[in-house]
Amino acid sequence: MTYLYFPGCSLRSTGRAYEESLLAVCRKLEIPLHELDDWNCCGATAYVSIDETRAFTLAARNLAIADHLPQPDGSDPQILAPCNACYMVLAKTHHFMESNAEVRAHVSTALHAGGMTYTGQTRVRHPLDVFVNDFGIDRIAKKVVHPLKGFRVACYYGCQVVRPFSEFDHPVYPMTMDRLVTALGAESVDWPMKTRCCGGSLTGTIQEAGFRLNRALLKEATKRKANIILTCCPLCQHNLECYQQRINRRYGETINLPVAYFTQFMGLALGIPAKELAIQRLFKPPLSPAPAGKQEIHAHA
Amino acid sequence: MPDTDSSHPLRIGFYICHCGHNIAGTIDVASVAHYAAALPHVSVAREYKYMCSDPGQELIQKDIRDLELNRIVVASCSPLLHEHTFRQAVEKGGLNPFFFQMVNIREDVSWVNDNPAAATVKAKDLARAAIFRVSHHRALDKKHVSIHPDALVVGAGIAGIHAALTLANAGKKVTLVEREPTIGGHMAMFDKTFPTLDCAACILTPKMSAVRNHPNIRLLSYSEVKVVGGYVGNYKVTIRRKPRYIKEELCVGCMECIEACVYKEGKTPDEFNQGLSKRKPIYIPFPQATPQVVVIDPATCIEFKSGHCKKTCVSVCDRGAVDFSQKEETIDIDVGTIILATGYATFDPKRLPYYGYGKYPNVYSSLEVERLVNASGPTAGELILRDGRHPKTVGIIHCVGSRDRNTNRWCSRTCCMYSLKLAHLLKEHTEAEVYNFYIDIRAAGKSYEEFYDKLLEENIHFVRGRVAEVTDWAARPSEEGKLVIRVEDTLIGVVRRVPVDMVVLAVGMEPSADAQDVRRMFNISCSTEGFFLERHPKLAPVDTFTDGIFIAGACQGPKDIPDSVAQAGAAAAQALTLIDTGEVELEPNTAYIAEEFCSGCKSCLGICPYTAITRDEIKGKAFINEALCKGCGTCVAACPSGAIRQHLFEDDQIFSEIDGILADDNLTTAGVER
Amino acid sequence: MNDKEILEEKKWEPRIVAFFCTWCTYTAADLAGVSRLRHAPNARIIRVMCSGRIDPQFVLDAFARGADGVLIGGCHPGDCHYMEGNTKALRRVRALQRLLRDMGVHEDRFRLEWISASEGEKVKTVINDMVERIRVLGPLSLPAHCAQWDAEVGSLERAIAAEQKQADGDAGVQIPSSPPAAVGADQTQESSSLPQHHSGAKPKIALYWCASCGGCEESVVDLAEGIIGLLATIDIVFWPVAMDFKKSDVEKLGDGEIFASLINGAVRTSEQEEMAHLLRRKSRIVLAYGSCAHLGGIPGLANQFNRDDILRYVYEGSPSTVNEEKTRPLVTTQRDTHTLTIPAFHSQVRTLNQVIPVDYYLPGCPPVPRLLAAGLAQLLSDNPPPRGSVLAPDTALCDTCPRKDTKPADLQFTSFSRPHQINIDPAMCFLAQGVVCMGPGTRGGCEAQCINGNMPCSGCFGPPSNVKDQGAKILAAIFSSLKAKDEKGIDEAAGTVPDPIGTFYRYGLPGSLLRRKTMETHTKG
Repeated sequence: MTYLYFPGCSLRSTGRAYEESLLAVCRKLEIPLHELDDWNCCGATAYVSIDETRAFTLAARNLAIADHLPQPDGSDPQILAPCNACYMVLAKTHHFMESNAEVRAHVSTALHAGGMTYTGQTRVRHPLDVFVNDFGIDRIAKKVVHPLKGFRVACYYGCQVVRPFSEFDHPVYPMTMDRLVTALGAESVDWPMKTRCCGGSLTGTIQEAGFRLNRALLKEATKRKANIILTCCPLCQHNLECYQQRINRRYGETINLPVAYFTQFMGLALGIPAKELAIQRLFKPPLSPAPAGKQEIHAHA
Repeated sequence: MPDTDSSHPLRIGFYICHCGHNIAGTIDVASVAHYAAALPHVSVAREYKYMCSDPGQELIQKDIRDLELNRIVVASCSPLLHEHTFRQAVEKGGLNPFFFQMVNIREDVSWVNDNPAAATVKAKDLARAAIFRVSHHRALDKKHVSIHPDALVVGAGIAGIHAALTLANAGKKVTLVEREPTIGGHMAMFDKTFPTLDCAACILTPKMSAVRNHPNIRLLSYSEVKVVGGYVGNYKVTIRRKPRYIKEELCVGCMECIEACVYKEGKTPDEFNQGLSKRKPIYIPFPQATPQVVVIDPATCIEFKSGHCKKTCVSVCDRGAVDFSQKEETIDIDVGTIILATGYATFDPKRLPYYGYGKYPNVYSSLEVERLVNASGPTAGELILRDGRHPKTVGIIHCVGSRDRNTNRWCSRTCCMYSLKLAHLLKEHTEAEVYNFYIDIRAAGKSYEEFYDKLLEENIHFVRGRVAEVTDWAARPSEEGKLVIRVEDTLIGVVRRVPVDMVVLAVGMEPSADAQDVRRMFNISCSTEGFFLERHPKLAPVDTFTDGIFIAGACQGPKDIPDSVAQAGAAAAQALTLIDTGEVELEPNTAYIAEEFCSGCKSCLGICPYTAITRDEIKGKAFINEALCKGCGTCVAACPSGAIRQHLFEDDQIFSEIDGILADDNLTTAGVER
Repeated sequence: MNDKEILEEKKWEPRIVAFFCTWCTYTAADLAGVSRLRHAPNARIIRVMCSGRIDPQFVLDAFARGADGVLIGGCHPGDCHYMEGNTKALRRVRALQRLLRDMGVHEDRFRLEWISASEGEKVKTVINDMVERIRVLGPLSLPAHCAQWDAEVGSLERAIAAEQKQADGDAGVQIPSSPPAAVGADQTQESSSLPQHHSGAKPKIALYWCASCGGCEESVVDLAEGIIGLLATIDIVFWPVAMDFKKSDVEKLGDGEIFASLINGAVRTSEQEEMAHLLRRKSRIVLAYGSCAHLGGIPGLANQFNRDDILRYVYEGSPSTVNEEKTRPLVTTQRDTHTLTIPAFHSQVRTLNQVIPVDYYLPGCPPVPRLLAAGLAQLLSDNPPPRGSVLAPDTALCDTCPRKDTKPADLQFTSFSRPHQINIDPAMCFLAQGVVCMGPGTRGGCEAQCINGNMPCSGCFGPPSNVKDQGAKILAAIFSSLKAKDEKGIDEAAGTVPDPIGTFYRYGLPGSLLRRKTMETHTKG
């Protein structure tokens, strides 16, 4: 099964650490990826609230490209979309194309004008789903070289990967990432904010609102004694990581939590060198480079 | 009397009913009658407003006499409704009742069609088919079976108890089967009942006692029905009695054995107390259990697990009632009628993880709270939470699992009332602040609305909004250590966070977990929700489609105690109708062998699930035992010689129906009049 | 009128015959009515007690009479009011669906749906969906097609009559026109007058062969010494295979002068048709002799193909044909001053009674000499059997089968073998060994010759009189007793009969309810 890798705009810009670590992990696990030919921006959550038809067309174009790239064994193509927003938009487009005749008609006409046809065979997958369900937790556990003891992880899923198209996990209490980090040797913290909104782009537009949401998440994670938050979305990671000092100043808190991508965490456990996992791109790396020759990983106290 | 054979010419009477506007409002009945009049062998074709009424039936009878009709066709509603009515009318007119065919032009045509032209054409096609078919009808005798006077009631909750008592008081012998060690069902678990706040046990135990003592009731507790065979009036039921390991006739319920058990205290979650307390392997569900007999649970008893117990229970019983060698018993009974009152299950709140049941210790289901507030419950009626505290604030969430496309779409009817009752009881027991979170308050019964009114004066807070989640995340210091209920208060348009110490989930009512297995065993149907299906939701709510089997109580659909009792009485009355008449008429649609064409090929022998077909070794031909034949017709289709026929559904009758339907190739079902 | 014209002239609407079981689907349909769930008016419901009552003959009869679709509704598996009637229905339906596919009927036209008593909504959606799908397919119109097919017979017959009239018109001999070929229907004389042979003169007998193999002629010869006795009582006036009488000899006879014509073979060409009409005119009794005349016979299997397909294969496509110019024979051709004609090749194979009225049938491929002798004796007697009779016992072969006792009472099939695939135990019932035997659905009287030759019955005597369609009935009988209860298991078992038409309609395709493959959907082969 070769997955059609859809980086989306963020993974090539602010989310570079996600891409680099994801690709490194896939290489290590020998999961074949092929970047989707000529992919375009998915439109994210903003576009669909401006012009639904165009937004669906934009996203559907990617699906239509994938439709014509079936597997050698004839099975349906599968797009791997790491960013939660891309995942949700592509899944939503697929759902509407299947169930809403009007959308289907508009989008098909538009695509047809560009010489493309949409067949609906392509499935949209998230790396969490692929690693845990396709590749298998047991196989990953066997490949762990540095069990990540001492890490108490607050798994943060964000909202878009589990709602409303929660194909692979529970919409309110998901456990996929938690099971993954446990298999990597760490401890997963039980906290009630796993899928509570991080504010999305509000931290850029109405900062007050964005900060309030992020403060609640960070504070609760700290209260539950987590020493790292792992995310699976570039915007979630950005929001949770980048504004801690400003939140502290505004609200008088003392939050100081590293926030990394779950793929970086996986990579560390699998023994991939930190540089390949773009650890250095994090504001608060969860590891300090050891004296030359020996790679050590320790929890951020 | 024109009981015709081939030497008498056919004289068919055709009648089409207006049924007020129900049929005539869509179908041009005059045109259909006119059309029918021109068909072969039709002597008369009439239309009338209400054929099923007395004048309508008399019209048929008069025509039979005056016009010497020997076949009747009525086009009106569904045969499932009035075929019997018209057959009786035909018989009263002096004609064999089976020279009659009915055409369904209401449920099948006028009620599902807006286009009058299409509906009229369809009615004509169906009328023609019936006229062709009835020409092939033959005179038949009615089939009667006798009804065994004994009855079986399955399930001994309040509905089963009431049904059994009604039948027993009418002098009938009733076997009452209950799978739990005690009768009483869910009602025995309740503390008080709405709206009177009667103590449930106080009103239930006299009935339980009456069951125990009634000479006409044979109570088989801790027993299950295993096999049901037979048919109306003649059911053969096999019941399995699970071993209590206690001799029921010797035990007096003193419970010394429980006291003496080697277990100093209970270790197994107590089922009756919803797991809130623990019981020993030898136990009685609750002190007033009926029968007043203890039971030993082999899964947790040391003697069963290891064989090396001191068996203090045996030594302390001076009646010698404890018997570890007791075996399962099988009992076969013959009954004429069966009433199913198997009750319901509560919705499992674990299915809604955002309410935190099973995750947060102080989230309770309503049934658990019933036990908590009950004086003979795990905490003797004191409201002590799992973490030992007394709640100062309580939130009761309505509609848990109900009115929800994701779980159960229906309203469970009782939850609003019992939530109000629990609100009152909790306030009474604890003086806590009580919040009820509801979508609508459904208080439709007698004195129910008044009960709700009273609560409004008791300072109970009502928030109209569907609770989104129960969380332990404290957004401000005042919420630390509490469970926060997040809900949109729709009446003021604000999202609220309500911190409480205790959350009560008003779980809905569902079909029992094994409802499908039970209904297959009794050969009845379930509705799409999974409750047992009644024959007609309005006019036959306790009958099923299987003659002789009735349903009562929550197994038919969510309902409260008054309605369960009412249905139980109704089901008992229906059973009494059969029993007291002594016999029932069955449709004579059995299969029979036309021996001269049977080649003895044995193709049919294995087909019949009722083993009604055997081989006559002397003649070398198949033989059908009419008494066993249920009239499905499967063997008729399977006979490669066409030697097996079915009364009322003969091949020539069905072929003529097909012919009649397709005979007129009008090429359109809309727009083109014939 | 062809389908296109039908559609254009009037608004054609699909006609669906629905068979619903009383307890579940019919109740659900009533519920749909009670709930006022409006839906397409195209379905006409026939109520039965259980879906297990539904005989495949009903389905085929409905199509043959003009239904565009047939819907069967029963209880969900496991819920049958009569325990397992719906399982038997499922088995028969899966087998019938396969058969109908092979007969070229689109699968959307025949549907089985499980609808429980509370699923009124499903009744609505199923009927609406089925109507729309069939609307796309268009009308099946089998009766109209039959009328078209039979028009070719009618036109020829009228042309012959016109020619005759012209030829004989001056001579003043009135030739009564033959009765018109009825559309698809079985034409057996039902008149009450009984044929009497001429006292004194020996009754005249004619024998003729249409599309046949010669085996029926052989069977007459097989009377052996019995022929001598026979010849003492009858006078053969026409028998092309053995005697030198010509067609003109027959034409010279008066109408009804022949006591009985024994015509074997199916009717495939215009010459056979012409001879059939001629002999009918000249005979008091016409006896359809042998399977081909009775039911269509082996040549009848050609009704799975179009005339074009056949001619193309024979003259171009077969591996042993070399015909680069793709030459085809013509019905008439001019050579100098002569016009040469050969018979035209009909589009269908027909049974004899689809061309002329037939009085009696002697079944078999070929008929057994004993039944021939007995049959003739009956016809010559003062008390002949009723017109339209089949001159063979009316019970199935199992009645007289030497292996009957070895057939178990509770046979359940998991798969079927063809005779060459296993070593057949010569003492045991074929069905008990998993070999398809048509015996239970085929008339006896043949002395079980095939059985005694260790081959299963293949159905050549046709069905007993209570059966309209032999293939459908035996299919119902055999497949009701499959072991599997689920679709996959049933399909697997049914799939071990690789050619349902060839197995169940080996001799009876033209005489069956559908008569031929409809060519609505083109399948391979």
